[in-house]
Amino acid sequence: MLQDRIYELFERIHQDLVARRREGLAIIVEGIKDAIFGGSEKAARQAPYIRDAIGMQRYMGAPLLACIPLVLASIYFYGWRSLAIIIVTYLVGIAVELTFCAIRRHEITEGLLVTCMLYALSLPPTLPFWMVAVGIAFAIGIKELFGGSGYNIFNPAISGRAFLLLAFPAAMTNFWYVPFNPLTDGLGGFLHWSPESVKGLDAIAKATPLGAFRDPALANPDLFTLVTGFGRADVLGATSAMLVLLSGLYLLQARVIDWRVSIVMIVSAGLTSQFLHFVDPSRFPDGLYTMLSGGLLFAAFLNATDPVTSPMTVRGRWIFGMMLGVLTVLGRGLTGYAEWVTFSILIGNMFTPLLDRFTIPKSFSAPAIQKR
Amino acid sequence: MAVLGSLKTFKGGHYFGLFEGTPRGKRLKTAPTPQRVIIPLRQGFSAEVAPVVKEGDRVKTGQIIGRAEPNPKKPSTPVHASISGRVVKIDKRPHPLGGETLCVHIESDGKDDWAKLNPPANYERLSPEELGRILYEAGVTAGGQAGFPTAYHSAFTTPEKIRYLIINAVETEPFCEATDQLLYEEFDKFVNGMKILRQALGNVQVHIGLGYNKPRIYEELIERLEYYDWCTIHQLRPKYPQHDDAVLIRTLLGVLLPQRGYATDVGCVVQDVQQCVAAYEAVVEGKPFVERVVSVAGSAIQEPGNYRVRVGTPLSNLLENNNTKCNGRIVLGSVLRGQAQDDLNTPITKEISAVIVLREAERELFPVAGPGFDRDSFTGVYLSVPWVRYKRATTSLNGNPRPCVRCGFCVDVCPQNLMPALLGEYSAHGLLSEAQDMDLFACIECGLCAYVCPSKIPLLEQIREGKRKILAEAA
Repeated sequence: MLQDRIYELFERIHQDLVARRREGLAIIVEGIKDAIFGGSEKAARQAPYIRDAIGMQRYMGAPLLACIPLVLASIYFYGWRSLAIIIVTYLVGIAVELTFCAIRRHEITEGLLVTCMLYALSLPPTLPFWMVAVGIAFAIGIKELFGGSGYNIFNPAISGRAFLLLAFPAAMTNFWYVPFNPLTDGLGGFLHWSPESVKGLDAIAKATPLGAFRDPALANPDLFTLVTGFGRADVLGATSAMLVLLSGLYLLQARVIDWRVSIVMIVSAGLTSQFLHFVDPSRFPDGLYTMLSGGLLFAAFLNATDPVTSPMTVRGRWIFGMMLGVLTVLGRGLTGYAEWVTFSILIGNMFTPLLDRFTIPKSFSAPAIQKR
Repeated sequence: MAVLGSLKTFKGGHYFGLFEGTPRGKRLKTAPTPQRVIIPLRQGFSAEVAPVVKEGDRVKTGQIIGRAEPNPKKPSTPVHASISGRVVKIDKRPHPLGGETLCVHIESDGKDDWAKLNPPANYERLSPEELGRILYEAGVTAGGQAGFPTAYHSAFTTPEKIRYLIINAVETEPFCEATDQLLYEEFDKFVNGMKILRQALGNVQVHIGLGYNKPRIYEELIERLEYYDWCTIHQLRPKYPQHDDAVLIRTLLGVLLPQRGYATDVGCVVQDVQQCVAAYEAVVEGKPFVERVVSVAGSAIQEPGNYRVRVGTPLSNLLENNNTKCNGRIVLGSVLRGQAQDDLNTPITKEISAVIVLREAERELFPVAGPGFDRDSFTGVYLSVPWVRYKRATTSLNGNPRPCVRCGFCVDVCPQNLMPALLGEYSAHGLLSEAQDMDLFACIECGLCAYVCPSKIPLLEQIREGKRKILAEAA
C-alpha cells in the first residue's frame, strides 16, 4: 500500500535523524508526516474509543477555507501584489516557526497557517514587502516566546499588525489603493500586478472609509460601496463587507467560531456607535457605517474569535464580545487612530484570563452527601 | 396519566450519527447456550457475595450460586447460575468493568434444566415485601446504576424512602440497540414489569422517559396507561447522554443529584427496559434473571445483531459467530466510557448491553481533505448527505495530539455544566483541591469532552485519574 510505504519512509528518516542526534530536524520530519497522515494512524488508548472526526487540521482548516473567497477578492481588487504579500507572509512565518520548533523541540502546530493568513489579509495593499516580513516575524516570535500555540496570551496575527501600526504608522495608514471595480474594470486585478502599475498615481487613494469619515474634506462612501467593496480602499481582506460576512456565516455554522463573540461584538459596536452618534455626530458615525467600515466585521469573525485568546465560558464570551465592540467604537472616535479594532482585541486578550476565572459556570449537581 | 407534550432535553450533549455496524432494527435472536460460563460474584455497584457452591457441585439454571447476608452497609443481590451443569472452578479474575472479583466457572451438561421460582397465582395481590423478596431471589434487584431497593438491602436505601420510579426507555449510547429492540418486541412484558416494580416500591409515582424517535411505542403506552394517574410519560430528545441517571433525573424532575451520589439519594429509582422485562419474567414466569439482551455491534463485525445472551457467556462464544474482521478492538457496554478488553474469556455480565468491536485505526493519506460524508462530528466542518447512511467508526484519534487551544467545545457539550478542559488540566498537574472546587465530582464521566476535543486530549482519563487520586488521599 502506498500509504504504508510513505509512512515507513518517514519513520526511517526520523529514526535516522534521531540516531544522528539531529532532534530539531527530526521534529520537522515528524511534523511533515503528521501533516500527511493527519493523525489517522494514531489509535485511542483510553476511553472514549471513538473520537470526533474534528482534528486540529480540520479545525484550523475551516478559517483557511473561509478565507479563500477573501484571497481571491483581494487579488481581483489589488492585483497579484496582494498574493505576493500573502506568500511572503507564509514563507517568513513558516521559517520562523520551524526555527523555534527545531530549537525548542516542540511539535509544529496548524494554528501557524491561520495566523499567517489573517495577518496578511489585515495589511494595506501598499505595504513594502520587508515590512510584511518584519511584522510576521514579530507575530510568530512573540507567540513562540510565550510557549507556542495554545499558550500565547495575545492574538498573534493582531499583535503583528499592532507592531506594524506602531513601528510604521505612515505606511500602515496613509497610502491606499483604489481597488479595481468590477463595474468598470473587467477582469481587473487578475491581469495586473497592482492598481498602481496600471493607473499610476491615480490609483493612490487618500483614505479608507474610516479615514474619510474623520476628514471633513473627503466624502463618505455610500452604503453600496461599503457592502460590495467596489471602489472602497481598505486592507486586503476586509474590502468587501459582504464576502467577509459570507466567510463569517460559514464559520458560524461550522461551529468553529462562537456567535457570542463575533455577533455580540458587531451588534454591540453598532448599538454603541448609534447611541454616541446622537451625542456627537462629528466623532461617531451611525451604527451601520461603523459595522461595515474598517476591519470590524473581519476582526469580529476571524480575529476576536481566536480560541486561544478569547474566553472559554459562555458568560465570559458575552462580556468579551461586548467589551470589544464598545472599545472599538470609543477608540475610533476618541483616539488618534482611525481604526482601533486591533488595539481593542489586544486589550480584550489581556482580560481573557480574568474573565475565564470569574465566569466559571455552576455545575448541575448538589453538594456531596458526607455519609459514604 | 399525565402526558407531557413538549419535548424535554438538557444543555450540552451530542447527537451521534448512525455508526457503521449498528444493529438498528435487527430482531432479537437467542444466542446458543454456551458450553462454559464464567459468572462474577460481584454485580454492578453491589458488594461481592460469597459462593454457596463448591467445585464439583451440580447446579441448575437459575440456581443461586452466591449470596451474602443482608447488610445495609454492603448492599448485594444473589448471583445465579445461568446454565445447568457442574461447577469446575472458583477463582479470582479481573471483572469486565474493572477490579478483581471471585468468579464461578460452570461447565454445561447440555440439558439446561431450570430451577424456577414458584410464581404466585396473582401477583397483583402481593404486598411490596413479598414482591421485593421474589425480585431479590431472582437477581433482578442488582440492575441500574444504583440497584433496586428491597427489605433485603439490595441498594443503599430502603423502599420507604423512594418517591419516584423512573423508567429509562431512552437509549442514547452509540451501537446499543438491543434494549430498544426489546422494547418493541416485549412491550407487554415491559408494561407489566413496570407495574410490578412500582408495586414493589409501594405504589410510587412513575415517570417514563421515552425517546422521541419511538412514536409507535409512545402511542401504545398512552393507550395502555391512559387511566392511571400514577404515571407520566416524557418524550425526550435522543441526545447522548440522556440515559445517564443524573441527566435523566434532572431532565424529568428538575432535581440535581448530589456529587458522588446515586439516584436513590434523591428518592428515585432508575430502571431500564431490560429490568422491567426481567421483573415480569421473575414474578410471572418464575425465571431468575440469567439472560439479557446484548447488541453485538461495531465496524469490525460482519453481521451485527441483537441477541439474548446468558449471563457469564464468554466473549469468544458471542464473537465467533460474527467472525470479527482481524484487528478489532473489543469494548464492552459503551465506546465512550467503557474499557477495552483483550481477553476473549471475559464474561458478559448483567450490566453489559453491548459488545462492540471497532476497526483499528488505519493509515490514510490526507484524511482531512475532502467533504467527509461518512464522518461524525460535533462541528459543522464535515458535510452530511442523505445517501451516506453510516458514519465511520474506527479507533483512530482523527487528529494529532496538540496543546489545548481552549476552543470551548468541551464546555459546550458538557451535560453537567463543567469546564472539562480545566478539570483535566488541574487533575493532570496535581492541582486536586482546585479541581475539587470546580466540582470535579459532579462529572458523570460520559466521555463527551474527550470525544469532541480537537486537540485529542484524553480528558476523561485525566478526570478519572484526578478522582482516583482524591479518593485515595481521603482514604
